[in-house]
Amino acid sequence: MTEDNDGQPIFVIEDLHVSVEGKPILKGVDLVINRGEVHTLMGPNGSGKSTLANSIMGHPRYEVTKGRVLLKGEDVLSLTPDQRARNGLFLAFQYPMGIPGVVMGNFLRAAMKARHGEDLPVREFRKLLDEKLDLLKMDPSFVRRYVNEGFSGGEKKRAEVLQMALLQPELAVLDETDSGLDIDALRTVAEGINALRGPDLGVLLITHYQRILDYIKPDIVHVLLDGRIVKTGGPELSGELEEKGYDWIIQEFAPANAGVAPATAGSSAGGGD
Amino acid sequence: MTQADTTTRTQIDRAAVEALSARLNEPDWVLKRRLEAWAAFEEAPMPDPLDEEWRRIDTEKLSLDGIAPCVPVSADVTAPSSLPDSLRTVWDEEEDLAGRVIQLDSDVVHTSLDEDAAAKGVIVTDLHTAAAEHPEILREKLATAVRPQEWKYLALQAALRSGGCLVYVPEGVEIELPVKYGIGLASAQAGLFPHLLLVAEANSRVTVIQEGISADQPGLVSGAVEVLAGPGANVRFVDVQRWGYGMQNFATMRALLEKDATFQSILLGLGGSITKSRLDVKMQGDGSNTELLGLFFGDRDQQFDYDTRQDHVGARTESDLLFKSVLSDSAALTWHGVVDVQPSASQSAANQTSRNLLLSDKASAAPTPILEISAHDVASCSHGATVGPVDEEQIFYLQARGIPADVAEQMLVDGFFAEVLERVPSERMQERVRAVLDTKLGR
Repeated sequence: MTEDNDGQPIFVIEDLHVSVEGKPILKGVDLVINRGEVHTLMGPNGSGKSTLANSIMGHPRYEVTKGRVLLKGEDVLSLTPDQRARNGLFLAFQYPMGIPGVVMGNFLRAAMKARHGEDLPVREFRKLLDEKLDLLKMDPSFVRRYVNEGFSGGEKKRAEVLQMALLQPELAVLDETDSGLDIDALRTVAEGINALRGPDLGVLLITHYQRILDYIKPDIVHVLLDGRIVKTGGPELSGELEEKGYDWIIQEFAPANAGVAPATAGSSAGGGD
Repeated sequence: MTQADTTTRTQIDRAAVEALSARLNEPDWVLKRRLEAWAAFEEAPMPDPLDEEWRRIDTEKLSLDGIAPCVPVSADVTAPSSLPDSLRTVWDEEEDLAGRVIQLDSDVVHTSLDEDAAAKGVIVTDLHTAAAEHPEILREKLATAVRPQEWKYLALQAALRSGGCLVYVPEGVEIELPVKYGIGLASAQAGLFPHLLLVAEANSRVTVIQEGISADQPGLVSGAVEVLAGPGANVRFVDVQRWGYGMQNFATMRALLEKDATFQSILLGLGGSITKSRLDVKMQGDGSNTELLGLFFGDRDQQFDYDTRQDHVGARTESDLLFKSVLSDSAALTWHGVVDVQPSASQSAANQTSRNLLLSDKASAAPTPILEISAHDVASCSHGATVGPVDEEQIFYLQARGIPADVAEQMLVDGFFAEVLERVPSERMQERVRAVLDTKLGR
């Protein structure tokens, strides 16, 4: 694995155990992401993908019972979600919350101020925003709408990527940013993410489907199953998953769970939505 | 002198009613009506905590003891600067208005109306002047929408009403800017009984903003608002309730809508220790419609109790109610809202929504929507109510963007208010209300 200039990975997860309402979901996850790398985390429904995403960001409902999560060498688990975000973590939500009454433009400015520590002059903010709206093929009127309120599925996902573009995180977790999108929206969102790739950014792209990987080429692919990463490989692994589904992995690593795993996992993994 | 006579009064009684009428040199028919109202007040029992109507508030805090009917202000008030500081905003010269009636304690101290509106026959004045100059309007319209006999505190109001405001808009006349009825109460331990009569003739259009304000002090207000909207008239009414902490506040607001009339009300309830407020809209005419918006913020141990009625009588009538409250400390709000769709109201539609945000464990909200539908072919009827703290998922979403939890909560509370506040038709009033909210939130 390549390492950054300091010789330190941007993001490390060590033996992470997480429970939800007392029920263990993650049972020892290990992961190392270096700057500039895009990792894909795949897995069938119920394997713990969203739990991992929410735990990384510090959602109060997810209880970390063991392990460490290091951003730039610092354990973030004792930090509040907003401190994590200000330190450079970003989560693109699978289901972005609608917030009636809070105007998108004001929200984005408040977030920018929090992340960068200062209020950008209005004109500069506006210019930057227009640029990013353009990148994601979004209408400028979007800025006057309430946050995610009444947005279509595609608009919500674009809005998440827009926020990522403005906040310039160092480690971005994208939780099924590809789900619920038609092919045009998927392409736009993927292009947006690709435009943000660079030598400083680490990406953890969580997906159930292979199809976004037609547009975003990962460096490393992981398979999460029953709360553990059971397989790690290069881009060819995602191809194999598309072809054969998850059943063979379930058979190999968690045969006891084969009966409860969704029977459709194989077909949906390759077929998109 | 009569003034000395009234200033020494420390009790509300029949003699106080007679003294008030004498001081105002009222004609006999007015005194007669006052005394009838007084009799109705005396007959009605004090609120009984076992009564459905009163069981939702702390009736032990309701008292007329030591309350005297308020009297004329001693100082000459000729400009906003001569108002006490705490009441200054009630008379805001910067506010863009078509007209204003400013009442201080028992009397109206200032009236103005833009020339254009006056030339079109619009009348904006206090009720005593109206009785002298436009007796035909008062005799025919006053106390037609609200009847003194229907409620103890309304009977009290009708007996001791003083000052007051008439807004009369002739047929087809449209006034773009709002008319303001500002009411300031300077005296402590005083009773204040304002009355707004708003008559909008056929196809007219008008907005009236009523704002009541006092310092934090014991006292009692019982106000009446009557809105008579003629065929096709469009009336907007905003009530900004900023009575001081310590005040008992009673209000009766009723609108009668004729064919195709539109009535929108925005209630902003911020002040008082105890508020018992009644808002009824009777959609008598076919095709008439109403929108009732409310925004309430309680802190300390403030109690708010709202009764609303959406009466559908005419066919194809439509009503929509949205009440939002934010409650902190040990504040409590109850709302009891009835939608009554009568058999004649075919093809009508009604909605009620109550959203209540609790900022503390001791705060409480009890919304009760009630549908009474006797029409057979209703277009749609719906209601919904929520009570709860700030949404944890919304907080998390904002935090995930770097916004600290306390700032996130502020943004959510502001956002919660925005939906109603943004619709108040005066930016200066919006700013003032925001400032009050900020103070209540400790910002």
